[in-house]
Amino acid sequence: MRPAELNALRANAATAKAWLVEGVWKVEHAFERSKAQGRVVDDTRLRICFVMALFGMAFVTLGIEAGRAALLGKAGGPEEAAAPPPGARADLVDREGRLLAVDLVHYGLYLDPRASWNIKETRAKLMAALPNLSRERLEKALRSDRREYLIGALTPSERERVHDLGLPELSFEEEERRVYPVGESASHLIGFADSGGHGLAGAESALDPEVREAAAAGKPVALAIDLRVQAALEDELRGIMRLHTPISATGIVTNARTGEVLALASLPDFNPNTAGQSPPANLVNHAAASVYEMGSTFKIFTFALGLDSGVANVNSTFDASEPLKIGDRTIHDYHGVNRVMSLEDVFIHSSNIGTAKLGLRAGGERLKRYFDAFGLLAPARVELSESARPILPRTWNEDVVASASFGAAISVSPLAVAGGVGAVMNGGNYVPLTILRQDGAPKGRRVISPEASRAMLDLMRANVLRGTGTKADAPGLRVGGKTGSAEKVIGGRYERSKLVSSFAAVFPTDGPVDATRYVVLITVDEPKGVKETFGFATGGWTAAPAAGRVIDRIAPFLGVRRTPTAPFAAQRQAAAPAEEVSEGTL
Amino acid sequence: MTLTYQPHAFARTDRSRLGVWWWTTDRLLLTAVAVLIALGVTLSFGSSPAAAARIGLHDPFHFAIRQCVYGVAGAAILLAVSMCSPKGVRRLSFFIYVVAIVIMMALPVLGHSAKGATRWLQLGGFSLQPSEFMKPALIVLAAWMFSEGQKGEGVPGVFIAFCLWALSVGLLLAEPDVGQTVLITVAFGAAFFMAGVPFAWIVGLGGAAVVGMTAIYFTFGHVAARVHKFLSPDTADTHQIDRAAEAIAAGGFLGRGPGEGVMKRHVPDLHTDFIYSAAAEEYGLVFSLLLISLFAFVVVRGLYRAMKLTDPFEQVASAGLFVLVGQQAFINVAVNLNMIPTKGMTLPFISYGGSSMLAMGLTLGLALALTSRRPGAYSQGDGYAPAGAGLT
Repeated sequence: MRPAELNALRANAATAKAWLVEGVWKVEHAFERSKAQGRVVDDTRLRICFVMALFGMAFVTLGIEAGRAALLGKAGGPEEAAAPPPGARADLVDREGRLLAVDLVHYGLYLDPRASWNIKETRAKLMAALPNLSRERLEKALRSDRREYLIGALTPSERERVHDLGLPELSFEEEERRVYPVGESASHLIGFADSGGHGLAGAESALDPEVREAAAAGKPVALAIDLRVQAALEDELRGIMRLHTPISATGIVTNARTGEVLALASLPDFNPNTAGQSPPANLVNHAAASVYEMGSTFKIFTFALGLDSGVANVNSTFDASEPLKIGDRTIHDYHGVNRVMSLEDVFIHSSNIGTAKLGLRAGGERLKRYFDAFGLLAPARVELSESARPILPRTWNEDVVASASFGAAISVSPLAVAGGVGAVMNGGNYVPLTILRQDGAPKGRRVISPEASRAMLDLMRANVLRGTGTKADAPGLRVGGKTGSAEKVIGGRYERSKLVSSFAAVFPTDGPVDATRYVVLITVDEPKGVKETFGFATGGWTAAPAAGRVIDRIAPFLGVRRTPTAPFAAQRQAAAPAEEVSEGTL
Repeated sequence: MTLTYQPHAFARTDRSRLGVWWWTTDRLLLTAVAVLIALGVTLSFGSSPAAAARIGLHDPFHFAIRQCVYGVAGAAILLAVSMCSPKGVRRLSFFIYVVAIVIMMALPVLGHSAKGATRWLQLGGFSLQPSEFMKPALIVLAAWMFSEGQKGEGVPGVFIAFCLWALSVGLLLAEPDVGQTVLITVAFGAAFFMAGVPFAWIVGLGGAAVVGMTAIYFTFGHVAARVHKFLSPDTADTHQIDRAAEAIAAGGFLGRGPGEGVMKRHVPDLHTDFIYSAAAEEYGLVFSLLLISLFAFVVVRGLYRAMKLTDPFEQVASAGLFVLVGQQAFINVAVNLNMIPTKGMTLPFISYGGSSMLAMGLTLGLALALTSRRPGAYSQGDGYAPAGAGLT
């Protein structure tokens, strides 16, 4: 940098400094002058007085605000209903408002060892009062230097017992816990939620968002089930479990018109209050999550589609005098009558040959279309997330069509079957099943004609009067139904001694075609034949009598009137009814 | 029956330093401050267990015992400082200002960070906040400089005062401590105003203040967040303020009763910034109004005394100090009542805190020293009264 520039810069700096100093002094003198002029507005006393007045007003305002906040404020006290905690779940009730699941206040127990006078005494008293208490956790808490959580979910009486120990180091905190007052009843339908308020199974899981929303609104969620119907169903299923000692027994009662699931049981079951302690196998809802080859019960669908599509009518005949040969496979009738049979005979004698011929007459394409319409080719349409996908044949060739027509080669869940049977029996509308109480008109989609539905009701009734389902009759309740006994596939072979026995019932079968009717489906997995059933383990001997007794018990709850009838005993037959066991293809 | 003669602790003829102090100091202010300190200590016994439990201290009265110590120390500082002459006040303030500024400059190296700011100096088991002590010193020095400038004796008073202010604010914003910045700026502005700044300038300075506040709003994220929180209570997390409002409402007129408050278990800063709400919950509106009245009395009485003084420096300095106390009390209570955005500010003498208590002792000590009845300090009829004369 040249000296000239440096000098210029110095000069500029000097000017700037002089300007700054001048400016400062200008301000200083102006300040000084204003004071010296002694104007009233500039007087310090007046200014202080002004500040004093400001503070006076400020503090008066504070006083007023303090009064308002204290007297008119919104206290978070007991006057105000507490907002539901974040994990809150609404009550679940049955269709009549009976409590099924509820959030209840329980107590968490805390221990602060610093406040303990005598650690030994604390340990001894706590162990005595709470036998469930984890010893390990208690020891850890006793050695801690802070307040520790000991155990949760204490009931009021447990809390009282601990409280009465009079130990100052113990304290309680409220916590919400899901309680299922009806215990095992409907456990698979209701499901359960974890301690954080998340639904894990059944309705608790399927309706999780609804349950949370309802909790915020303070309203219960009404399920479709009727606890009385549920109780009758479970009682009869327990009878099957005792008598036939199967792997599992499931039962479903639905309102065919509305699709409402009035009862759903799957044995073995569990207590949702202590779901974690149940064997995992008991937590499986076989009615929704298991798929079975249903056997002859499936003939309902084959007959319905045959009647509706016009490939058969009540006057059709089927020649069952010879076993049916398809390729290198032969279909027999076990208790074959070996003659030309009417449509009704095929149904009530559960002829596989006749049904296969009907299926073949309809053709694979049609069979598939109708099965799809009955909801059999997809998971049952119901809220439950357990609803299982069916196992379907890869192709629909003649062999498969013949098998599928009598319920082999296709595995579906009992819920899906109940949905499809409802559609056949309610006048021909497929109504998705629902576990929620329905108050509006049901929304369905027509799948068969009312006439076909009417004919099916008559066939079902005839089967109970004269066919394989006689043990399902209940006095004066016009029960109709279809048995099914499917051999299970074990290791790639149909095993003759291991059956899935089922009975699909509908009642009442009379009245207008679109009247309210109820479907009862009972499925028993591997029942054992016993002396009382002459060694039989088929649907007609296991599921059918139970279905009849269920219907007999629940009809009054459902408002189904009995009609005068001939003495019940007269219709009973001592011998085993002719019944078909399906033999499928693989 | 004989009447025994009880000699007064300080006879009117007592000319010792203590005797003079007793008769010259404003005893009403002294009493009010003593009551405030006593209330602060009392309230700390209610809030301490909850606060101690939250941070896991074994001793539930950890904070209460410390508050007792602080209360005694604060009172001692107050008494000692209130014995100063105006000249002593200036000297002390200068000394404190220099020391505080030096410490604040050293804070980035020596300081102790908490809640996102470096404001504290760790001294043994105690943390000291130098800016608390800097505040009253700055006000006294600024008032001094204003009065010197007005004398027209060649002292650039306004310039020096603004330099002192700028230095303080610069260091405070570096910590950052926007609350203290606003606090001292308002007190400084009030002192400048009371010193007799022309009205035309006020408009200009007001404009500058608005620009400054806007700049702060955009520069410091936590300030903007707090303002937003205040302006949109529905969307923001207003946990402390909501609990405070509930507590005050639950307290109602007479309160839940001593020790019965529940809010203190839910609010982190209850023993410091939200002590008012905790007290209102337990002792009710009656107590709240008493507290507000005490502060109002201290401020108004102090300003009244300042007004009556004759010397411009003493007037502005003492008034500025009372403004400092008054605005801090106002802001704290107003935050508790949700009248203004949340601002971390202690309630003088009541909130838990060593720095706050000691600095308030210093502030009031300086103010009492300046407003004492020295000969010639007050105009005719307001001055130092010899024995037998009326007091006010």
